[in-house]
Amino acid sequence: VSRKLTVTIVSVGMVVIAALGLLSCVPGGYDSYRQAAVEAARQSMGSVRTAQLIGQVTLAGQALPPYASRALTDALGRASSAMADLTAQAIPDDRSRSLRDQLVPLLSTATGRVGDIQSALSAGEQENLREQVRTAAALGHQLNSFVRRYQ
Amino acid sequence: VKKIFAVALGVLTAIGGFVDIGDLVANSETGARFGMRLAWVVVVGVVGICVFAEMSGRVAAISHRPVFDLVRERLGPRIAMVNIVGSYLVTLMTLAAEIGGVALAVSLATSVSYLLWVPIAAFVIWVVLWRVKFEALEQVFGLLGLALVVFVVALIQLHPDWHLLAAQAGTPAPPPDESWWTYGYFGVSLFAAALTPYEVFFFSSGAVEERWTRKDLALSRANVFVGFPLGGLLSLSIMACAAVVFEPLNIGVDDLAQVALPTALSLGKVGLAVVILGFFAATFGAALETGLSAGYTVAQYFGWTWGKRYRPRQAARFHTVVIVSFLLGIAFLLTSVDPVQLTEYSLVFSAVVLPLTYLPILVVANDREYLGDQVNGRFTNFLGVAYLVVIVVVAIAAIPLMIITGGGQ
Repeated sequence: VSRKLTVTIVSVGMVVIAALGLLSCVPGGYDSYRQAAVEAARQSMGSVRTAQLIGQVTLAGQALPPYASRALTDALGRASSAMADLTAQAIPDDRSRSLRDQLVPLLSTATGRVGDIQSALSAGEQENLREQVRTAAALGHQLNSFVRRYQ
Repeated sequence: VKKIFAVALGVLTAIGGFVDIGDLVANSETGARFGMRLAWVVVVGVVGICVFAEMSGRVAAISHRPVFDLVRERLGPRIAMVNIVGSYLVTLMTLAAEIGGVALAVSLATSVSYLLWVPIAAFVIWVVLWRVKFEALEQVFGLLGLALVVFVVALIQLHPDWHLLAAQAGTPAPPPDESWWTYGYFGVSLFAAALTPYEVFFFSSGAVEERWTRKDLALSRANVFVGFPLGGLLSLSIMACAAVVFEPLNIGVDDLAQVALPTALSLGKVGLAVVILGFFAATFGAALETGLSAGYTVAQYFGWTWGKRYRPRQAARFHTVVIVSFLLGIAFLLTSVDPVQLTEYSLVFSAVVLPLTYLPILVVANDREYLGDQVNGRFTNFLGVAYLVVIVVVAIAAIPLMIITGGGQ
């Protein structure tokens, strides 16, 4: 009896997990695309704002150069993967297409901005870095507005 | 004076050794997304690890055998085999994550990609494990791990709104922009981070390595009941730093560099240097512990000679398991899997196998044949059973929550 019970419990558990896994793989409609877009925007915003903070602590003389360089490389990687994640999504309808058209330029600018902060930092260009940090702040607000509007 | 020094040293080592890559990642991610709204899980987890670590320390001190040596004898080889397979695989994942953590910490100090550091870090960890005496490696890395106290200082220097943090901690519910599913998923990760199975293997086997006896029970309890809760405070301060810096800006934490950022903001270069040292010590110490734990679990199941008490030649099979585990860990990391994501998944799978670790401890700690008059009292059993229920619920919920939330997204 105990062996039967064990087999039953394990089988039910595996079926539930498989069902959940299959459900999570089924291509969705607009809502599913919207969620993916919000996630990409959130990830990109996190990268831009992290780069902005790294820029600020560097300008204040509070960051070790190897640390700042590493942190910006990581932020750039995340910004790029946010874009890649979104473009890998199938577009189910026109509303989703319109959403993509709004977001893709923001994601592209975000990747460029993080790269610009990294370049300014490695070149030691204080004024350029200050300017890039300022524009990153504005971009962060735009991405945040997108997230708030569609989440 | 000597005894007080020994107790103080043990407590400090326990505090410094409490935090590992899982705690760093889980607490920081949670603080950034939920503020202090999941702080209660850390408290529950710390009480849980105190209850079970005390039991396993007591079992080892009285029987002079580690818990998992007794599990096979008490529960039989078949049940013990299920236990060992699950526990070994999770310990292996955790070992890979810790080696990755060491490589990431060195990468923060050098800006060289962590992948280049992985084989070097693993080799150095293995050499230390091979050459350095058990007590020395436990104490050195435990004490160096105290560098993470910098998070407490950083938190104070950030001048947070303490009322807001307290209000969040008193609200066990997700913020408006998060779902209950993600709240549950991160709760599971935090709980697993506090109760990682290798901690019990290491604590129990370490007690045998250090030849604890009944006289050492007071030291064991001081380590557990003072050191672990203070280590838990470190975890909460990491969470609070992330809550203060990242949550208002809606920034998610995805890498170790971000975990260090609050200290740079509040304490500058010195704070940053100290926190990177703390990351290095915490992950290096945990990599030593998980490497040894991998060897302990396998060697104890098969009844081989094990431990650093013996020369490597005398415990050749134990050391072979350790070396193979390191090689598997390196191979895993060199697939370029992100160590932070690996840590997240290792926490979920830790949660799944938690009952396999903690049920046997409870069974053995109630066996008079091994413990005589030192078996669990009613209160300890009440706590143990209550925690076992929580652990089973967490284990059942872990994978469905991971699938539903897409890994916490």
